[in-house]
Amino acid sequence: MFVVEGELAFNTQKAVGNARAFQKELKTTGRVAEGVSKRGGSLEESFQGLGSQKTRAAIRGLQSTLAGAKDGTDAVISSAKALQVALVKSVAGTAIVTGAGVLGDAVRDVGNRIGAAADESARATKNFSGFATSIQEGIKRQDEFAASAENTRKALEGLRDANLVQSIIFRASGGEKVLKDLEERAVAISKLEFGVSAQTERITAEKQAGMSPEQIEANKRSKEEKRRIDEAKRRGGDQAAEDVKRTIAAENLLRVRTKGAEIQKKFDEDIATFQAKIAEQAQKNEQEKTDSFIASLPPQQKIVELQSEQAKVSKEIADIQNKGIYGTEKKRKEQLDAILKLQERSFSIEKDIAKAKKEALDEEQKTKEEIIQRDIEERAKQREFDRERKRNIEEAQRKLSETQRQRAQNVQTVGDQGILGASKAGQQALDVARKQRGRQVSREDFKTQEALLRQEAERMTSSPENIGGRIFNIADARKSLAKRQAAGEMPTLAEKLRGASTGRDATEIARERAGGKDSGKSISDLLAKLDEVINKITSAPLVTSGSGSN
Amino acid sequence: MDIVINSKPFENVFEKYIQRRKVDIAKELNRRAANIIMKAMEETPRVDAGSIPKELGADLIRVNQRMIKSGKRKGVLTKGKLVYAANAKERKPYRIFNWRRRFRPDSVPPRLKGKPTGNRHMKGLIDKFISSVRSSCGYIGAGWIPALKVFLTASKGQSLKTNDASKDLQRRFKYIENNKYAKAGYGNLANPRDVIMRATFGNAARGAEKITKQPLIRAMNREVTDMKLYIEGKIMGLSGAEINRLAKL
Repeated sequence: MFVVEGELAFNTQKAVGNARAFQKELKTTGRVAEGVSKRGGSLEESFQGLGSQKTRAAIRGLQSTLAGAKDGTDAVISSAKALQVALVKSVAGTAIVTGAGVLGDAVRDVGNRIGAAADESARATKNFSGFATSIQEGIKRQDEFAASAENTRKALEGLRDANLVQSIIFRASGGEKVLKDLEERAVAISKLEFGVSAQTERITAEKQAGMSPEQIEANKRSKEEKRRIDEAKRRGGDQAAEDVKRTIAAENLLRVRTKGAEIQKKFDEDIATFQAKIAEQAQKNEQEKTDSFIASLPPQQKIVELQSEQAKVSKEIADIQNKGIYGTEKKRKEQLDAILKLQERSFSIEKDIAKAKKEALDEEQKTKEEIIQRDIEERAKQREFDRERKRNIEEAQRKLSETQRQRAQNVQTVGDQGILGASKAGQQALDVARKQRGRQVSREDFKTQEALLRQEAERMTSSPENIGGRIFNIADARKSLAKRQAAGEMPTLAEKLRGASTGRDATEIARERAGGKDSGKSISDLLAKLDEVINKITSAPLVTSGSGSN
Repeated sequence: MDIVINSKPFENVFEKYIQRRKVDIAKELNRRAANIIMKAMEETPRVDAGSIPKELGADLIRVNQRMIKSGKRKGVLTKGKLVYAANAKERKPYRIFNWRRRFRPDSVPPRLKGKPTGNRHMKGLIDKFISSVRSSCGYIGAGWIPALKVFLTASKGQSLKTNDASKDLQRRFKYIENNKYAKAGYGNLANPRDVIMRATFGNAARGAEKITKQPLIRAMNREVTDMKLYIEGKIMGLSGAEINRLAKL
């Protein structure tokens, strides 16, 4: 959308500055005007007041000159009358009136100049033939016409605006109409050129389709610059064109610098973003280190560390919130993002604390179970120890009772030896009795041994272990018993361990192993039959009184 | 993009002019602005509405005439209705109308918008189309009216409050949105409290940038000449009435 705008401005400061100069001018003008107005009166009186017959004739001549001018209308005549009025009252007019020929010449001159301008305008239009094949050419042709029209226009406006007298003459001679026609012709040609060149816009558009956006932009810019320079040259000449060129150069420089500044700004922004990312990554690594260290600690210590970490995070959040969220939208967003991150961290720490507490509970439970288990084992050991102690005590008591019995027996023996030892006869008797007893004992022991061995042989023969049906004699039984006896005197380690584990005597086990399964039973049978065997083997009393012979 | 007319010549002369006249500067500036706008409206070329039907190949014909069969006016042919209808030989209006409907729908009034058509409704549409074209004559000159309203109101002696620019902007945008560009013109009065007083006026009608630039320059030049005449007349010691008479020549 285009808007055609007009702006009228008045600078009060500048006007105040010029006021003094103006006041001075006013005073001068006032004196002149006062001098002139003193003439007063009617036209004729004024004429008379002015001067001579020559002057009056000159004025009448002026009237006829104007009447005979190109545009012989009433307007011209009335303008001539008005001109007279002006001339009467003006200083310049006085000067002209005195030289009336000069005024007439001035009128003719103005008229001629207007005519010349009109002819020039018509010639320019006539020479303007053909049509443009592109917008550029159309603009060029338009500018050429506008340049020649501009010169004409300036000349005409110069005529019109020079002074009051010339302005009246200008208008009376039809100068305004020429000026208007010239401007309208320029507008019409501009439209025509624009219309023709618009048809070639499609061709330009096709050309532009093959260009890159930067090239199209550069093209447009160069066309615009050229247009501005040409416009300035047309309006203000070479100096104005130079000014515009300098302005364009400055604008281009600014544009390049701005673009460079934008590229630099983008580069700086990229660097800042990259640095921010690096800082964030470093912070994350630090965080992970702390987390892994805390994870390696025992649960209780872990809880303590996590709680101190949580306190730090809470403090940071409180600091930000106490400062307040303020500033530009970007800054506020950053602050809120920071609080959000800290709150997430705090939440994760809480989860870790809960996990650590659970671990601690589990460890406690495990420790308790271990304690209980240890207690059970200790009790079992204690029970075993008690059992062992009891067994040892029983053993010791048995040994003690045996010792006591043995001691009692020894006392008896010692008592007996004390009575007979008092005399020689007693001693002699004792010796004889000992010898006799010795002989008896050996005889009876032999017989006992023979009987026991015989029975043992019989048992061995009838034993289920005797698979081959071998008949065992006394010698065999003797060997077997000796074997058993030797095994009992020297049990092996295995037999000792077995005895300790089962609570039996190791010698018994050794005898059993040496003598076979029934050996234990056989010995008990033998012992059971021992009384019978002894009864069978009769024996005299050991010592008779006086005889000493059995 | 706006086209701003160079007003330096005016400003230079206005300074000298106002130093001779004992009037309120802002009021005089506004008055001159109003004069310029009126002269610009005068100078802005306009299409001759009468030539449009012929250009479009249409003739003005009477339709719906009927003969009264009874009553006092029996045998009288009624006037009927004057409408524009396409010339049978040229048939230009149909083509122009359909082309506009297809390629320049914005140039067609809302009630006439639609796809190109050739059905029996076309006759009625042609009449409406030509009437709408005729009514758009003087459209660009009418674009000055909103500005003129502002300055004429100020010159009638009402309070010289400067108009509210933000409210004016809303008004303008409303018209632009509804494609009423001629109504989107504006005028801003000069504020006597400013150091640099500015009176601005703008014409936002479509096509103004092509047509109304030179008329505005001419109008401004005429106003400058008027002021120069006054200055010169005062230098010469003429009275105001005499200066006016000279200016009217």
